Amino acid sequence: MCNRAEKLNVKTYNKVVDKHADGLYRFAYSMCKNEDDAQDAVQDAFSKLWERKDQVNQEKVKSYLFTTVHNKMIDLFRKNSKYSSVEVHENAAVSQSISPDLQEVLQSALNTLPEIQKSVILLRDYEGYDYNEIAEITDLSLSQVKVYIFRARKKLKSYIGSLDLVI
Amino acid sequence: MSIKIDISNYEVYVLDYIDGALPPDTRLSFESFLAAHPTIANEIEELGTLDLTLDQPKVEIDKKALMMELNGSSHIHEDNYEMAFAVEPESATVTEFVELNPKLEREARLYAATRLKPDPTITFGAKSELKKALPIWEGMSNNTWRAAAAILVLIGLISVLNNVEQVVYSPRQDVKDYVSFEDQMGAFETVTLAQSNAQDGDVKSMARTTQDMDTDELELLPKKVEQSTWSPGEIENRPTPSYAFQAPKIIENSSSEIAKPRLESDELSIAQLIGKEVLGIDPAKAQTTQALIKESAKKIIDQTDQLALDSEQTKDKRKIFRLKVAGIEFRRVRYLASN
Repeated sequence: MCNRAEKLNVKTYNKVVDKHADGLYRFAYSMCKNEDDAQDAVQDAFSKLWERKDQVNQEKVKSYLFTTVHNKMIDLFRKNSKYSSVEVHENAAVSQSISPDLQEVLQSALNTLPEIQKSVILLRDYEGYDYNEIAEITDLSLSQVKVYIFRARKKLKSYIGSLDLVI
Repeated sequence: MSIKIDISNYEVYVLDYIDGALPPDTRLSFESFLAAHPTIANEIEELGTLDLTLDQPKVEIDKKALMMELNGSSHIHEDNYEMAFAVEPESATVTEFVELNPKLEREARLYAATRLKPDPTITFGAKSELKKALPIWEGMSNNTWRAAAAILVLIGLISVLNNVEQVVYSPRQDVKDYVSFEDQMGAFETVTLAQSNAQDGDVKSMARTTQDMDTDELELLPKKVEQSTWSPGEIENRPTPSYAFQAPKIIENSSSEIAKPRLESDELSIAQLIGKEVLGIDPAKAQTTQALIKESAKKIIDQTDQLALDSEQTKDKRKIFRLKVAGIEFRRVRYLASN
């Protein structure tokens, strides 16, 4: 149970929107590369937060939001055939040939990763969560998180290592 | 439906037949084919007995020779360095390990380069749709509260000040309990006349008239209350009284004491006492409860930051009340009756 002082009210909720909406949207958009789905996920997360404002501790608001968006994205990947790995892989290959910029190449390479690897590495790199927090958000064990991050980085490394990028 | 197996396609089924992996009907077809072709059946029989396990000499692989010769540290060694590069690329132990093993520097750099950076241009554009409307009391600053309070005080103050002119009609049977401006003026005349008569022709002492008196003093005038002689039916059909101002007659030989009934006495009314002891208001300004309320409101407002109340009577018979709140002035002008 959280204290009365820690509960969200309208004012603090609106501040949370200002503070985290962009980060959540970036995370969701990087996961699915679809503006509508990313917006839906963010709106859904905030809607759930408001519904449960009496149960969510203010200190855990950010984790709650990212957990909701992460789950939404995983559901989306599982239910929606448009997010097949073949499709994103082809897109990544196209992007790779267009621009040699490291971050753009990484973004393209990101699309080749399985969704869970993508999610953990985005939480780590975009939001700076530590491994314990990522484990909490993704409902994985600490060692699972580390293994997924290791596999993701290994793939990204192979991807950029195979290009003529100056590292 | 069984497949027809003949000389042109039997080879496709040979290996599965030997392994016993053909479906029953295909197997039956294949066996029919073998029965018709004994030479092929002999070849397949030989294949089925062939032992593919070769007696190969055991090759000892020197795994150590394949391994990189690395200088391990307490936490990172040749078995886990990649994991360390990937999971903790910027840690001191990784840096130390790379310094000990410079040939892994590029590997470490590549892992470090896999760090993704968020694109700040990607933003959620519809934040306002996510936000909830603030209740009005949550969005108000302290100054707004002060202004709202001051406006309330002003409204209250105006209603107090307006009492002089206010005409209240709530007639009850046999009781006339309303007071009009005309009543007040009439009462004033009555009283001043009585006073002047009582002073036995002291006509030279000039009494102040209602024109000379300010509103505060007008409020002090005794109100004439009479028994109503109207029946309820008459009350409903009562003609609307006229409010045209009738200038009072100038009465000489009147005393100004009427406006200050208690000033020359040591005794103070309860309003004067409260005003003096609690709020420090001059008893002369708090001779009635109404005057006390007005003076105390003025005093409180004048003592508050960014609030000020003052009044001014102009020569053209106007009385102006000003309330200044945080640089904004609210003004109420009362037009006094003129001859």
